[in-house]
Amino acid sequence: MLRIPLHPEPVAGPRRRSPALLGAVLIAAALTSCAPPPQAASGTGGRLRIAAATDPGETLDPYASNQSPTQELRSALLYEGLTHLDPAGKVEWRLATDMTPNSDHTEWTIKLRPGVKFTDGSEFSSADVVASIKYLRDPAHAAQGLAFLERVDPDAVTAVDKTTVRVGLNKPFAPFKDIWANVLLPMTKAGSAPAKPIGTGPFAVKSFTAGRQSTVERFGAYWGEKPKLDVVDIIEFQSQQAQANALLSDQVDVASGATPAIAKSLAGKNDIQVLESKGDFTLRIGFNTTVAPFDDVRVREALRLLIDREQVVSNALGGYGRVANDHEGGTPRCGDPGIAQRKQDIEQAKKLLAEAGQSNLSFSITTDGLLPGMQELAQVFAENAAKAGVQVTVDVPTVPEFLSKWTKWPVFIDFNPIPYLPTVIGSLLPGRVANATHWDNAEFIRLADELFVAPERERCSIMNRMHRIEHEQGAMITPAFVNVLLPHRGTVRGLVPDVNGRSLTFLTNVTVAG
Amino acid sequence: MSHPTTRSSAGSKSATVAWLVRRVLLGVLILVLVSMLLFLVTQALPGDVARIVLGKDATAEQVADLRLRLGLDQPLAAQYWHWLTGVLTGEMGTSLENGEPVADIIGPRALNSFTLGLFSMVLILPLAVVIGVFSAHKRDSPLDRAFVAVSSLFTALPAFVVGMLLIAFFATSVFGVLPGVSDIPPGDMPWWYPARLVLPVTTLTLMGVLYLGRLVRASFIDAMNSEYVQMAVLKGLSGRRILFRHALPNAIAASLPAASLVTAVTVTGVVVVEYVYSYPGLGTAVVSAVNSHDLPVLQVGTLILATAYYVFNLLADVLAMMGRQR
Repeated sequence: MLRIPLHPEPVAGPRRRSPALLGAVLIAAALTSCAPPPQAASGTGGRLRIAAATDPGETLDPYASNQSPTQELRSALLYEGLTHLDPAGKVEWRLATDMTPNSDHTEWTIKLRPGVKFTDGSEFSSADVVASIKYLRDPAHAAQGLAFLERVDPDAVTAVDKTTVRVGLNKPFAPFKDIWANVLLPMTKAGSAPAKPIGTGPFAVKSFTAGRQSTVERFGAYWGEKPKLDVVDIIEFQSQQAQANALLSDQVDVASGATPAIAKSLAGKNDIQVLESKGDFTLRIGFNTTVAPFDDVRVREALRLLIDREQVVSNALGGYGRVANDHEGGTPRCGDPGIAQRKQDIEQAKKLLAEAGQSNLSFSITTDGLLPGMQELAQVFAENAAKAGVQVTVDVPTVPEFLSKWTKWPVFIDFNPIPYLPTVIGSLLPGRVANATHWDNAEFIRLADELFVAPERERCSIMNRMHRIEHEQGAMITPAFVNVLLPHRGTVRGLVPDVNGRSLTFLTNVTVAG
Repeated sequence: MSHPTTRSSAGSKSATVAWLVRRVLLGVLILVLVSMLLFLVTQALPGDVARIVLGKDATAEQVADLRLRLGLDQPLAAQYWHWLTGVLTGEMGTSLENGEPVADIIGPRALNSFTLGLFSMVLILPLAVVIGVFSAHKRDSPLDRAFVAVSSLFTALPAFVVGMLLIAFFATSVFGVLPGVSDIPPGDMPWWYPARLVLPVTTLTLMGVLYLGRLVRASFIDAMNSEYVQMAVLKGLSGRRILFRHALPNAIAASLPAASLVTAVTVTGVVVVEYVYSYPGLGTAVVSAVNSHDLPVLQVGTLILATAYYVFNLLADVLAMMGRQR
C-alpha cells in the first residue's frame, strides 16, 4: 500500500508572509505531530487488496438481514459452516464430519470435527452449534438464513456430547448436508453473535469500519490448510468504475465487481488478467402472477418466446455467459433434463397473445440495476418485444425504492447466485419472501416435497422434472447463465474459478508477489 | 441583505455589531430551516428505512418491529423534536443503517473533507492572485487571452468531468503516475497519503484558480484604470511602487469577498470531487446516507456543510462591507 510520510520542509523565514507559506507552515506543524503507523511486515504469501462495493449498512454479524456481496465475502473468510461448497459446487465436510438421519429423516445426528479452535483461541464444541442453530432459528433475530432452517424444530436441538449434536425436525428432510453449506448459516461461538461474532475461519478480523474497509489476517491456529496470505484488505468503493481505476493504478490487486464492458477494457492493461467463472449464476425477468395478465400462462409463454437469448448473451453480457432455457441451473450437475431449447418465435408469441386477448400488451420492467447486465437485459428484452408489438419500458428506481415495493412489482429483474436446492426452498415455493412472482404450482410443490425426502441418487431425476415445470409454467424468463468476472493483477497467483462465482472465498493457495 | 452605511465611527461600530448579530441569528434560523427541510424531504423519499435496513428477505412483522424500535411510528414532529433536542444536547444519535454513533462516522470524514478544502484553498488564493495579476498586467497578450479562454472553459465544466479527465490523463489511460482513487484507510490521516491528495486537490484548485483568477484580473484592471493610480503615474512614482503599494492591495481587497465565496463553493464542491475520487469525506457520507435514508447521518453531514457554506458567505459579506466602509 502506498503510504509515504511527508517530511516537513524547513520553515520559511519570518519576513515571508504569503498565504501559501503560512498554510505550508501550518501543515508542516500538523505533520510533525502525527506520523503514519508502521507498515505491516510482509510475510510469505503477502497482502491481498480486494476492491469491493461499498455497504454502509454492513456489520460483522454473519446472520444479519440484508447482507451485501461485500459482507458475504468477508463472512466467508471469517466464519465456517458445518459443510461447504467446493469450487465445483460439490458439498464437502467442514466443521461437521458426518450427519446421520433416523429412518424417516426427522432427526439428524451431527458429528463435529474435533480439535477446531475459534479465532479467540477457545475450543469449538457442540454447545456452539446448538447456540448458533437456535439463534438462526429464532424469528425475532430476522436472520437472513432463517428460510433454510424452517424444518428445524428449535426445541429439539441438543448437545449429546462435546462433538455430537442432535437436530430434530418438524418435517422430514433428506438433503440436510446441503443446506449447511450456505454462507448465511455459519457456526459462531456461543453468546458472541451478533455483538462481536467469533468464528473458526482461516482469517480473523484485524480492523473493520462499516462502508469503508476491513482488514483480516491469517489465523495461525486454523484447523485446516492454512492460507498463504498474511493479510487481506477489503477496500470499499462507491462505483465499479472506481474499482477499475484502483486496479489500474495498482491500489488494489483484485476488482470484485466488474461489468463485462469494464472487464474487457481492463484485460491486458498494466498486467491485468481476468478470471472467468462459468457457472450457474442467473439473471432473470420475473412476472408477478397475482397481476393480470401475467397470471395467464399463455402470456408468460408468449413473452418467453419473444426474447432472443443469443442476443442477451452477446449484448447484455458482452459474450460472458451461456444461453439458458427458462429454468434454474445445474448445481448439482444432473445431466440434460431433455427439454427442447426455447428459441425466439415472434409469430407463435403473437398467436398466444391474441388467444389471451393481449395483442396490445404494454408494461414496465423494473430493475435497480444493482448487478452488471440487469439494465442491459431489460433493454434487450424491450427491443425484442417490440417486434411483436409489445411495448416494454425500463424503469430504474433507486435501490431503496425497489426494495420497498419488493413482491409488488408486476415485472422485475432478479438474480440467483445459489445452487438449486436452496433456490427451491428460498424462492420457488409459495409464501417465501424471495418469491416475488408469487408463483404457486401444485405439481412443483409436490415434487419439492418428494425432493426433500428422496435419497441422493434420486434427486437429479426429481430436479429435472421440476425444471420441466419451471420451463413450461414458470413465472420467469431465465435467458442466460452469467459468467462472473474477476479482473486482477498478474502478481496475484492461485485464484480458482468457482461455479457459484465466489472465487474470492477460495484463498488457500492465493499469493501476491512482491 | 441590509448593511450599515453610516460613516460616523461610533455609530458605524454599533450598527456593524447589530448587523452581524442579525446575520448570525438569521444563519441559525436558516440552519434550523435546512434541517427541517431535510427531515421532510427524507420522509418524502420513496422507500421505507426499516425495509431498507432489513432487506427483501425480512417479513412484514420484522419490518414493523424495526419501525417501532427506530421510533418511525411516531408522528413526524415528535421524530424531529427528538432528533433536534438530541443534537442540541450533544447526542447526535446513531446511524439507522449500522448502529454506529453518528459522531464516529462523521468526525473522521469531516477531518478528511476539511483537509482537502484547506489544501486546495492554500493553493487557490495565492495562485489566483499571481495568475490574475499577471494576466491583467499582460492584458490582451496571447497568454492573457489563453487564460481567459481556459478559465471560461473550466468554469463551464462540471467538477466531476474535470476529475474524470484528470484520472484518465494522470492515473489510468495516458500517464500512470498518480493514484486513480483517493481512498484513505480508516483511522489514518489524509496527509499521510500525499500522492492520493494530488488529483482531488488539483481538481478543486483548477476550478478555484480559474474562477477567482478571472475576478482578480478584472479587479486589477479596474485598479490600474482608477484615478488614484493615474494620479500616482502623473506624480512620477515608480511602476513597482504603483503596482505593489497602490494597485495590488486595492485589487486584492476588491477580490476578498469573491475569495470567501470561492471558499464556500470549494467546501461544497468537495462533495462532487470526493465521489469522483472515492475519497472518504463528508460528501460521500451524505450521498450514501441519502441512498439508505440514514437520517441521523444525513442531517449532521449536511448541517456541517451548510454551516461552512453559510460562514464563508457571511465572511464574504463582512469583507465586502469592510471594503465599502474603507
